[in-house]
Amino acid sequence: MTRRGKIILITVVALVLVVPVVLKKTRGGDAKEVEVETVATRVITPTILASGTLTYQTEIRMVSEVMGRVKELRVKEGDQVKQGDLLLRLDPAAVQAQVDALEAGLRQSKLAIDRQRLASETLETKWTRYQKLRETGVIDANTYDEIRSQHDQSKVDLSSSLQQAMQTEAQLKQMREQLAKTELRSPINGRVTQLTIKSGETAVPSVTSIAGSDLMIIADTSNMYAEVNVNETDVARVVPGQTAQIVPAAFPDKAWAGVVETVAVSPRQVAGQGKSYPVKIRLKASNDMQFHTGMSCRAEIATRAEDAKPVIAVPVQAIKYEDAEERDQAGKSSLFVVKDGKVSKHNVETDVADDSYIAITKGVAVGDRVVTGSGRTLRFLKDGERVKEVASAEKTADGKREDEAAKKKAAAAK
Amino acid sequence: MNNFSLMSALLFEPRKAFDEIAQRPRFLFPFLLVLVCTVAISAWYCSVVDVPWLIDQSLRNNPLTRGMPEARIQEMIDRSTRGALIGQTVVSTIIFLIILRLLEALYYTLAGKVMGVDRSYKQWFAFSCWTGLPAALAIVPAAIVLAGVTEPQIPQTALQPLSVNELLLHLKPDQPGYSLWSNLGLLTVAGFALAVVGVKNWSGRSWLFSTLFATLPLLLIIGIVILRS
Repeated sequence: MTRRGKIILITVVALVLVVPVVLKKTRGGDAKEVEVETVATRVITPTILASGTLTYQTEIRMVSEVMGRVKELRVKEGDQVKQGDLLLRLDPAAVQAQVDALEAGLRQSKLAIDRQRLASETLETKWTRYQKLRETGVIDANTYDEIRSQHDQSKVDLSSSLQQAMQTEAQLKQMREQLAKTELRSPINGRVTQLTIKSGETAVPSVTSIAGSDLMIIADTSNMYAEVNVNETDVARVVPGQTAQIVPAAFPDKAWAGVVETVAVSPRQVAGQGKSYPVKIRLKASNDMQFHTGMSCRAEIATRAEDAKPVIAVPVQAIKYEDAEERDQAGKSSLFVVKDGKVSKHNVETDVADDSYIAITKGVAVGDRVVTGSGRTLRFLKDGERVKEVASAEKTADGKREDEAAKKKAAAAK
Repeated sequence: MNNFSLMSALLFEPRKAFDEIAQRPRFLFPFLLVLVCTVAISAWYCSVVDVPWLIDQSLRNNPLTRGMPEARIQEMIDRSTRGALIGQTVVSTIIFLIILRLLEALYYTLAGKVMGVDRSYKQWFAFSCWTGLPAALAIVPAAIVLAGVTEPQIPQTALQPLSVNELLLHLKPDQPGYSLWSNLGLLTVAGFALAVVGVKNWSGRSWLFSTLFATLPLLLIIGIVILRS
């Protein structure tokens, strides 16, 4: 090959090696695809999370006050009952026998009283006559004293019998009450939510929960509640009247609307855990879900103040947090604002947040376009990088994502 | 003919160069030259790249680790260091190049025996090393790229601006064929062109035969990738 040919060949190789690189350099690198959202003002609704159980407002644990075998069970679990309805009947034979014995004893006592009263009246007459005879000296002092003693004794005996009869009467009354208690009646209008006794089993009176002591639970099902335990650090922000969303364990994608009704004054402490305050949330009726008392649930209590005003807010995922360099300093928060196809990092100061948005007090303005995703891109995004906006779920005016709004619409249509 | 003359001859007088390789099969110079250039570029790349970003990209784009949980990815990122990355890259590059040359020479030897191009394994190993020499030129565009880096999130494939993907296809990392077309480019073609010339010179057969002989493994790989995608 000639020298000229060699030079041409080397030049061609060099150009092939360099030109594509130079062209690529002048064209610039690929812009990163990012999701972007426009900064707007909105009302932030901070929430407190708590867990607990579903319950009815009134739940009465029925226990027996007398011991006896269940002779007749008139209800089954889930039955609706009215106040005074007979729920179950214990075998009354033993108590009835005692009542009969006491009634017989009372009748005997009354007969004895009649007999003693007659004897007493006879002695009264006899004593009156002996008094006159003693005054005239017809009878001696010994005879008179004997009669007087018999007279006094009869009065005491009569009084004793009367007391005896009263005692028997009291016992009879008590036993009749026992007899009445062999019939268990509903104290409220409600539903049998739990039935632990069966016909033929023995009901045992006890204040502690032992086998046979709990008969059933009658609940007033007209009012449903969630009783949740709010951590002591959050309880100061919970007040009656706040709204809440209750998500039962069985329906993780559905929620009951509720209103906080009471916040306990004294805490409940579980061993090994922090203190928590029971909060009762009254649930609004829903046909979508079946209420199961005792079911675990999660509550999101909205603690927004009534006079809360719209503030500048961005999606929570737009914020990047960095640890402080010094231990006593606060961490830094920042986000990326898109302008002219490039991102610029803005340090921001954040305030309250809810599930979706966080309030920004300093660092961005309404109308700024902030990068919200994807998480992966955002994680490695650098100040000054070129970006390309891609479609993301834009927000509606009321601050809810369109896809969420669509879901709710579909649910309502159902 | 010394190594530099032989290198020059490969560009300007390939037939003469392959005669020399057949007569005096030697491989250390081209092998070490490609190795040093590749290792140098790899080490340079690892010393400037955003390491957490690179590991994140590698794990997410690798089909074997694509579904890895976020926590596990973060754990691996936290554990990684630049020193370890450079060490791993250098070692794996050396091992890869050695295995590549050994396998390529083995293929040529076996194919030569079948097709009647009877040469020793040593000759084919030297053939493989010399025809792979254009790969050393990759240091030039890669060095230009790295020298002009303004931000450290550089994909590995950006170091190969002469690849088919960078020049023509512009596939994304998660698209089929990305890996193949990112590693196959003008320099690979140059290497195979040299091999075709070399095979024709050693076998004395037609261009078609020489082309098929030299490029059969590559054509098979490309065919498999195209079929799978």
